[in-house]
Amino acid sequence: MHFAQHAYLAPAFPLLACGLILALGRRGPGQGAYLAVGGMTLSLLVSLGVLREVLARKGGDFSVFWFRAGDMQLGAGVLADPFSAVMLLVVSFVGLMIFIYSIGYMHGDPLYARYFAYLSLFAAAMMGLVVADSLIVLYMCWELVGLCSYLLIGFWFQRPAAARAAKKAFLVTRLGDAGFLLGILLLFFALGTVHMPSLFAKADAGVASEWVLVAAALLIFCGAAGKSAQFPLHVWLPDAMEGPTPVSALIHAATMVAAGVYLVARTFPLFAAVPDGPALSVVAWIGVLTALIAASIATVTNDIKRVLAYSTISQLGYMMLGLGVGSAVAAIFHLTTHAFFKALLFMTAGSIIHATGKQDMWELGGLRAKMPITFVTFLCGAAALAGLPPLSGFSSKDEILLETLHVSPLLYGLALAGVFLTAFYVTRMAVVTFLGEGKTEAHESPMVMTGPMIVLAVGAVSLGWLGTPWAPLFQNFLAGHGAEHGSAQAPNLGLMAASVGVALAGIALGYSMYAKGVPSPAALKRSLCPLYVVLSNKYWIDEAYQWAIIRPGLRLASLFRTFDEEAVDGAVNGAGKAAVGGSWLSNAFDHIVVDGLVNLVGWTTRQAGAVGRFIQTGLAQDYMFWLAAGAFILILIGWFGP
Amino acid sequence: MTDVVFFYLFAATALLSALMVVVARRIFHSALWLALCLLAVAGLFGLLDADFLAAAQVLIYVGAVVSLMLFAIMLTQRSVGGRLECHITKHGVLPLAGSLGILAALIHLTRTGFPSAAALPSSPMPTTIPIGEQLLTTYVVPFEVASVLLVMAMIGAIVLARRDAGQ
Amino acid sequence: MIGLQHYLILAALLFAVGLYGALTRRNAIGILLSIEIMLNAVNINLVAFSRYQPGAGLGGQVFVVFVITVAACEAAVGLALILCIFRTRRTVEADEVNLLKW
Repeated sequence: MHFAQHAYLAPAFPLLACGLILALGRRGPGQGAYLAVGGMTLSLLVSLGVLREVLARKGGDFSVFWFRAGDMQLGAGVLADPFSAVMLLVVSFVGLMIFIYSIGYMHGDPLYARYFAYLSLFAAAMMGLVVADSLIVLYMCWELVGLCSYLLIGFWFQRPAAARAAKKAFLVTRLGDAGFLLGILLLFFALGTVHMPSLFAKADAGVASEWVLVAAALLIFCGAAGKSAQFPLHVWLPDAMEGPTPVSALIHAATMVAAGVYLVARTFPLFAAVPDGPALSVVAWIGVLTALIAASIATVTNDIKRVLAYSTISQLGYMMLGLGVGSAVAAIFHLTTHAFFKALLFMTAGSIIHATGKQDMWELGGLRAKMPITFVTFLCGAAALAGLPPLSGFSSKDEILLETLHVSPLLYGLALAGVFLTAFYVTRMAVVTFLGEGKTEAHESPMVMTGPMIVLAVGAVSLGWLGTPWAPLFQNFLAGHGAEHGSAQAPNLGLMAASVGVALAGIALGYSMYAKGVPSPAALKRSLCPLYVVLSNKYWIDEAYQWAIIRPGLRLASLFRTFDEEAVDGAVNGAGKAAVGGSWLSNAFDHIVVDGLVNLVGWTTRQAGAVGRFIQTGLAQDYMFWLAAGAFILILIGWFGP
Repeated sequence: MTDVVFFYLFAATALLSALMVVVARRIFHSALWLALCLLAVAGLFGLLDADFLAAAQVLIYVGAVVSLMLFAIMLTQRSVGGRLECHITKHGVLPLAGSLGILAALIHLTRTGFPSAAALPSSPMPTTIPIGEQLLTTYVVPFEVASVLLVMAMIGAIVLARRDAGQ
Repeated sequence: MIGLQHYLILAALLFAVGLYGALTRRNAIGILLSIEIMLNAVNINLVAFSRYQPGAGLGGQVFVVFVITVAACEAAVGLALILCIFRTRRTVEADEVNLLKW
């Protein structure tokens, strides 16, 4: 069995599961859940097969002819290389864990079967995106993933907040997708193909001009920025937390948001084709800005899911930073580790919500004792997030920091500040939620939920060993893809010490502020009041969008509606009224003129008769007189006439 | 010479008696004046060498028609004396004008295009036989029609003048 | 000498007189009398033409025969009608017989 050649099976199985669930509905096995889990399991097996073959260097591009339009020929196929193998594995494994977790979390929901159908569809689309070798197929799956995100964010659609959040997510990512499509079209018209390997070969060969490549790269980055919630298109991700927590875990932590990072990594040759070009700098700077902005907002956020959302945005910024400094390998590595620990963190949040029904961390507390498994797994994820060795997050984040330092010390400094903030806010969340006095009733979650959490915790802890500087197995594996994606450097102990120190400092501050009250958070809030206001209002970015784009847009729409109602409908109604008026006019004409003429004829006749009847005197002699007069006239005519 | 005298005599008689017919107050007198007029006309016929017609005129017109008129006059007299005619009628000027107009027209007509007064030198012949011949040859159809007309008129007059049963 | 015009003028005068009488006599029989005068004027015309036109033959005189015939018929029927009217209306005045007035 050549898994690489049939890598399309990975998306095919969940797609089949989705169809079956929709067809069978609640009558399906486990109300559809088992079908979904079965589909994902099969995908996982396929992914493992693909990985094995890629490890054995038997991967590659397998493309088949799709359709022809004129001179243009489009192919579709699968690309089985280290990147796609890794992503397939991440998506299928983390996805499977979340699917199992959902069985417990969504238990009792009236639309249970539909949930699993949507989840399976998402998984299929995501894996399709990963293995696609043609930009067109990739774009199709990209859109499909966006659709599933919309469906799942607004899963509890009766809640207006959920419906609004789904619409917001779709519209904001749409903005990015428009740029993405333009980039694809630009590439197609410049280089004549959408098949990625051929595309990169042509780009490297210098077939197209430099500005085309830069423009295309930036446009593609637009799409990536939208999907991966980079500044300024990050506004949808915090609101997307309205969806069920497993959805947040899978889509908005581990996989879909990582699709943007994956896209840039995939099309990296385009970005790197123009050395010293603006494309990579843009990516790096946006990445680091996003990381800082999101991390700063997370420090004052109170909803546990929103903290994790901002955390995701921040970590995605780090991945973009890694790409921007030229190391797609580092970015993908961090993506992998992030998928594990962020999904885990979301699962723990979901566990808390499922048990207590509350999301505000200030309403929680002392859950350490009541939900021990949740607590321990949370700690694993939090430590990985903060970047403590030897956990996975440390290895991947440090890889990025290393590469950043080689490119720009300024970027490095900013990234390091972000590390501090990350450690701080995650400690804050841990302390407030789990430590201290118990404020609410809680119980541990069922095994079906805690099981996957434990599995992911193991992954979060141990994955780092795959990519340490002393044994960069992961990086080498990924770098086999191509030498220009950066290579592992010699271990820089000073760097590692710096990042660990900063992380510990952040943890220490967080612990001391929130566990011990030194300095008191309230006092700090008062003294840094302006900063606090800015942060808690999320830099007013949403408000800016509302004011600058949404309201003018709505006003334009209402203007068009007024035009339609007044002018267009008015014209139509006016035509109708004109027709009625015309018919009234015609009616009047008919009555007055035509009938008038007819009546006139009759009236004239009657008047003539009224005058003429006086001749009828009844006297024979008068008639005789008229006879004589007539005869006289005739004589005259005979006299004078012809 | 005698022609001239007799002509003017007969013409004056005819005209004057015609005028008297028209202006006479009593209708009976009108009828009598009519008889005289018709006799004068008969004389004129004689002057024109129409001997049969002169005889027929006297016989039919004066003899029968006027008698008939006289009978009718007598039958339609009012029990109380009839009103006298007044020759100024309700119409006033109009009939006079009309008559004068016709007169003028007719006289004008006589001045135009007729042969001059050449008296025919032919000696008068009796006309009875030729008229009879003409009636039965050239004018036989009008003759027959006239007979039918006479019968119809006779029957009509009898029917009209008959007293009805319930009267 | 007496020529055609003399007779024609005489006939015209008689006709005018007769016409005047027909238009003005009140008594219906008077009207009939006037009509007889008119007819006689016509007869004079006819006979005069017959006499003074060379080659006219006796056509005029035959015509006069017919005119006399018709006049007789007309007098008979007319008088019969007048008798009828007299019986129903007890009047013979022409201006009192105006039922056909508008």
